[in-house]
Amino acid sequence: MTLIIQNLVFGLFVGSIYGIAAVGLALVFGVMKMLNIAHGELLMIGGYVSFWLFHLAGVDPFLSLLISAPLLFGLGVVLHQVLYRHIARFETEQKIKNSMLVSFGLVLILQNLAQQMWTADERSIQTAYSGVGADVLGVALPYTRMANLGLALLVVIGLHLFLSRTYLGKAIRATADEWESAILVGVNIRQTFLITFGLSASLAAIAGALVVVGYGLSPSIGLAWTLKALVVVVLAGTGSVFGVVPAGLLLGLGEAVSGIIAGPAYREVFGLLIFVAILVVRPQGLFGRA
Amino acid sequence: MWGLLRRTERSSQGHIDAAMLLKTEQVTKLFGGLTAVRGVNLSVREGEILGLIGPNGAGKTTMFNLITGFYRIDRGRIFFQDRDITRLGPADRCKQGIARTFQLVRPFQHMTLGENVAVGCVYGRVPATSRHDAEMRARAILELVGLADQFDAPAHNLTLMNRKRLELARALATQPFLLLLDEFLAGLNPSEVHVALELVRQLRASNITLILVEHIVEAVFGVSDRVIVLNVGEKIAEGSPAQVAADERVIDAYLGRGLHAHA
Repeated sequence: MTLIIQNLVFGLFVGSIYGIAAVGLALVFGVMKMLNIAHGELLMIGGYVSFWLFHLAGVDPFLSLLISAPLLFGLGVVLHQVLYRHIARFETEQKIKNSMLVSFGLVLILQNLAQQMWTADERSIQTAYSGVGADVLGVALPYTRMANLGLALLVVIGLHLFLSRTYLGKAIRATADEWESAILVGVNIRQTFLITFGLSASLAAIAGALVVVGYGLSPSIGLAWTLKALVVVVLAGTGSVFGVVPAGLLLGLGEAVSGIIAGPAYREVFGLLIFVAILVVRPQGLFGRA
Repeated sequence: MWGLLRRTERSSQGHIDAAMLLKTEQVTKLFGGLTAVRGVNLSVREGEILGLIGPNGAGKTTMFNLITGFYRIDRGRIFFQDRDITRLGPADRCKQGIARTFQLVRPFQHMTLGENVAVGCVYGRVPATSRHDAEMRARAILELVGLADQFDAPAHNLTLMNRKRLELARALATQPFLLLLDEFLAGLNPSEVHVALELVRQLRASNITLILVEHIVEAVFGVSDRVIVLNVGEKIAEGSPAQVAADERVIDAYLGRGLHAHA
């Protein structure tokens, strides 16, 4: 029994990372109507930033977010100006296709660059508090994993406040709904696109730090995380940025359940089964509007 | 109430000696081999209501897209308040004081009515100075168009008439000098058309210059000071509603003999 609960709790913890990883993808998809396959690579690079800051300067991985998130925002801005900006002017369907092609190319470039610079070794961060945690009725609650969950909630609340309370946030939502109307009321949508993309990269950096603390990091992990994030986005419903974190938690839980029932080898299959099932049964997603 | 929208920076001295607000010179737009608009000269004076009519495919909406900057102009120039705006993008033209509504209304679906309008107040020609200011202005404008009680309602389940009101409110929120209404009456029933025309007349009373694209010719003739008729991308007539209604080319291209008899 304790083992089952332990599994579910860990499912929830990993689900919170799925949530953070997917929020950035959902934001770019919802606002820019682009599918950024390279989102996982941004996560990977963010993870390396945290890793090197810890390894070389002893910066705590959670504190390193204060550096890696702005840094990735900058990288996002550069990538947007060099690549994604040029896709923005296409029609919606073309935009999705072209953004997939372009970002897939970017995946290959970033992956190989990372491998050149940082080797293919798997890295992770062992802090003083790694492995330490609370124990509730025999269920282990490692502090780092609990921080994942806390951070996921903070991120989604922060994002919610930004998008609903500030006028820049409202402009971003307006652009997501009807970009032509947004232009007509004077919104500079090039700027909202730029900020959205930078924000998405920052969110990837946060997810990357959590991955390097809790799991492991290598140059090739990006696509797996993009895929996971994509499952979560579909689960939440496209256009529902706030449904993403609950959907991530749900996927984490679901994977844990399937791991208990069918064995850990089938965890990944479960996610893809959900992906297909949602597309068939409820294409608007769990939290999306039809 | 309407004073909110009245421009204070410049006073309009009536139609005769009023300043030229918008002027297009030999404007041309090509789509591949098709000329959507060919060498159109159009001008609107301050405070005027200009009707733009013509059969389907005449280039009316294309003209709107050229004036608002959604399409890049292929030949010709556009002046607004004596300033060459040919190369300005749509958001910058909004900040100069040009607003428009879409034929198929496009509210921000996932936002409340208040937010829809407030965005225009913040990013429009006269940016709101504070959140409070934006909200106050949004409330006042929603009241003008008759949606005051729905400030916090979501925009995604309004009736067509109320969507049109919201579209108008959002355009007004940017405090335009010139407002382009693209088929504002389309899809409305006769009593709604009556209400909508009343709104248009109120706009004129508040000194906003208007260009109307409309298929209900009687309605255009009823409210317009001047009418321009486009056909296959070219201007074929211009003048008072009565002059245009009597023009042989217009009758052949668009109005037909039936309406001529009534006019």
